[in-house]
Amino acid sequence: MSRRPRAGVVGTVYRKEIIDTLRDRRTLATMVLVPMVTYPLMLIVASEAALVEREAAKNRTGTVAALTAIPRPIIEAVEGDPSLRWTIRTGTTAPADRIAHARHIIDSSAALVVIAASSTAAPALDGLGTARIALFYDETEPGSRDAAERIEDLLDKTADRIRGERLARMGVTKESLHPILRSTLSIATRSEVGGELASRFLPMLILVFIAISCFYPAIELTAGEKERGTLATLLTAPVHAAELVAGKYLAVVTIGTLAGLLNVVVMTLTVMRAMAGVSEHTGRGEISALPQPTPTMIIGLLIAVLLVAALVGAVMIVAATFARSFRDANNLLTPVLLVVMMPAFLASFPSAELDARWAAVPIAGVVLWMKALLLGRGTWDVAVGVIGASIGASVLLLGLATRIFGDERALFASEGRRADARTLFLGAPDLGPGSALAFASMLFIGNYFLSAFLLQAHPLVAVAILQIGLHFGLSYAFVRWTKAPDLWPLGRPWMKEAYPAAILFGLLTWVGVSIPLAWIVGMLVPGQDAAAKALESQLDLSGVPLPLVLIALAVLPAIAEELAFRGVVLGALRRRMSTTGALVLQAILFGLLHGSLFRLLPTAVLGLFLGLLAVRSRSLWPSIVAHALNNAVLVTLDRLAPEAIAGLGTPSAAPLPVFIGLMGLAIVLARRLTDQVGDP
Amino acid sequence: MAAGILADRVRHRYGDHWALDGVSFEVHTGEVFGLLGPNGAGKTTLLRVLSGILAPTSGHAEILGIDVRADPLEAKRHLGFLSGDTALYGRLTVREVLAYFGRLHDLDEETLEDRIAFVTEDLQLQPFIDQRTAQLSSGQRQRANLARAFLTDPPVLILDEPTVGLDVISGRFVVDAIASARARGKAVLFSTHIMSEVEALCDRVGLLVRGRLMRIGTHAELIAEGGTMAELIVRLHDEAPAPLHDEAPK
Repeated sequence: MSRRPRAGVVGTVYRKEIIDTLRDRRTLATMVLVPMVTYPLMLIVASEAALVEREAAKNRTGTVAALTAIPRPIIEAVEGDPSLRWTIRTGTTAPADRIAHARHIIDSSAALVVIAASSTAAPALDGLGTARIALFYDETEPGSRDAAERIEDLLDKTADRIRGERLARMGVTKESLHPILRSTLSIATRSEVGGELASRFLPMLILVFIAISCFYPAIELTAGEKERGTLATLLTAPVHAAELVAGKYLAVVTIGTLAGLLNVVVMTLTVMRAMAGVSEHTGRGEISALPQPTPTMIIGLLIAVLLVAALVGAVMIVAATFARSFRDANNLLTPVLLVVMMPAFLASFPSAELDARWAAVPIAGVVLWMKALLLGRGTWDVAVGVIGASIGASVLLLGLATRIFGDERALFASEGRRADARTLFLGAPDLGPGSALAFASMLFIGNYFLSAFLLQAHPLVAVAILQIGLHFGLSYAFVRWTKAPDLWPLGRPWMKEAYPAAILFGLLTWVGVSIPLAWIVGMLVPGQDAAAKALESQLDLSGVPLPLVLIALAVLPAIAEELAFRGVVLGALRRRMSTTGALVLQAILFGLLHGSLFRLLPTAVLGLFLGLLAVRSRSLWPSIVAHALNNAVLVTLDRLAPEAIAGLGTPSAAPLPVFIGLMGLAIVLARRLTDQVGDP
Repeated sequence: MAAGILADRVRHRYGDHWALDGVSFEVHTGEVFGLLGPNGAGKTTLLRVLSGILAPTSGHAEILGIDVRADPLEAKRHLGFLSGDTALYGRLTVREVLAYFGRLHDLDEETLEDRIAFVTEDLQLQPFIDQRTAQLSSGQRQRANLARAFLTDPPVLILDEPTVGLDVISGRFVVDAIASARARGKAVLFSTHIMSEVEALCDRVGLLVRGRLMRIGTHAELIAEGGTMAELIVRLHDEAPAPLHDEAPK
């Protein structure tokens, strides 16, 4: 009997959970009402508070007190300003006591600003000297700050006037004292400024609202079901734990995504409404323009919202599944929420920019990507890492949730102890699409993360660590853990033609399939050459002898990647999927693992051929041979005839017949193999 | 023909406490089997093991000859399960709850409609079929729950104290439903504390005490030992050794 999740059942669970959730007033309130009311309210309160403050400042008289005798021109300047008024005109405070005395005056509200002059100030002003004037104010008090600023202005103007008089007496013009007049202008458009502003707070806000919106549904659908006693009934229905988790998870993600999108929309509308109001009444553009939305920004933000919802939803579902009751879930989820926020918080620092390392950190990567999108700097190549890492992390979490859901100790934990986390985490998973995806995700994350840190190391060391440590190590651990040595069929091939086919494949696939595919991709998406060059510069092995390069780039990857992909991934997938489905899925995963959209299609096709070889021959050796040869052809050509390789990278008509011939041969070979695919 | 329900040396352990210690019995088709025993004797655990929600620590259970652990989905397809303390989704109407479980049981839409119409008629759900279950009285809710268990017309019914907390009228619905299920050839296993139900309904009775099935027989056979059924249970409980702990043989 098939143990694949059935789409129909997942759909039934999903529909029921969506209806159930949407009928819950609490969810609706947090999801719809809170943002719809909060944003306008926040804006109204903020702008009105600013207005009130401005009006208050306009009407407030800045009271000024003197600690010493003040020079006449300054006394007169203050008297000439209607918004300022002397409360104490003179004094005799010693220099050492001035701060304490000023503090006393301001604290007792005798004045908002206190002023003191040096003993030589008056004669200095009369002659050609400098009068030292000290202002004391309280920076925590807006009125005091305001008054101090006005007096600063006044002092500057007075100084300017006196300077003018002095220069006139000397017969010098003002201009001669200012040989250079500087002005600095930002060329950023209003929409770019708006984008910068939005990039500072919007990603975090979206995250917070998605998290809050996922919170109750996640609890409702798991711990709530336990607490209300509906779970036992549900489990007597002929349904897999994976189907229940999938349906419930999709519901939580839908709610989270809707909430995230709703927030973006409401926030945009609020800002637009506020801007309309501003221009109507004051004509002043206090609020910067909105970022100009581009298709990349819109699609990217949509994907980002979906990714955040997928991740946060998965975290919430897992945490809530552990809980015994609603209250327990509340207690568990609050710290989890904070932990989820942590990387996002770090990523929201202005200096944090999206790079490979950040991209590999779930949540933080998405937040930084949203930031980049709002700044108009979102590019799709980094996005691959973000998307991969997010999906990988979500899949891992969901696998965990399924296992908890399938474990009766967790389900009926309200009657005993909480689920035993140790066995849940360390017990071996069932082989199938779930564990295959989880394994591939770990490879992806490991690859992405490690390779960023290995950039400084020697390329040979990096390759060895990635291949032996990550690919081989992880595969070996997986096979041992699941006690499924048959994932690695390393016996003799069942088919006589296996090795000849492998050799043909190995020699032809790159020339006959990968290059033409690369052309097609190149015609559709620009930037391929740049991506290839970037890869080359990272993998500079020009000083290394060819045999060593062949071991590093052909033999090692062939063994390690075949054991990982045609062994673990394909083997686990086939346990619960049709052979064709498993072949296609492992090929796509294999393509994705190479971390570049440009290489996705060619590597996926290579993976498909290698998978065919492995399935058909029931051994990994032929695909190892083919994989090694394929890489060796590439490496050798690159070493011996680099200009030929460079030439092949761009489409040209001349070798077309050759390619068509080779492709035909490859197709015939592939068909010959597919004819006999399937279990005997 | 395979038995409706089969338990074969079923043992179950919570932590270091053995809740079930080698329980074996069969429920035939067309038979109502009553499970009696004091609180904490392991009745709920046994019924959960038999319905495939809990894995036995050892031994095995079958529904219509299908091993509930090896092929849980197929086994559950033939099973209707109801317990006295299970709730329904409060924000869904009775009709929506029935449709949900019908679809989880893979009923096609036409059959689903027919079956909903049938149980609605049978259990007289019309007055509240389109009300949310949170608004129902506990009697109405249990009737809706009963309809859910009977919806797919399963050949095997496992009912865990289905009448607990119900008044005479609502309890009557449950008792009548069990009687009519027997008449239609279903295998029914139910646990209860109400002796009158046992006497009226059960073809055979099993007495579960401290995780062990101490007696199986007809009502008449069991009271032939002397005294009432309740007195027999008390006597067995007092005589039985304390429940096993972890040092028990595997």
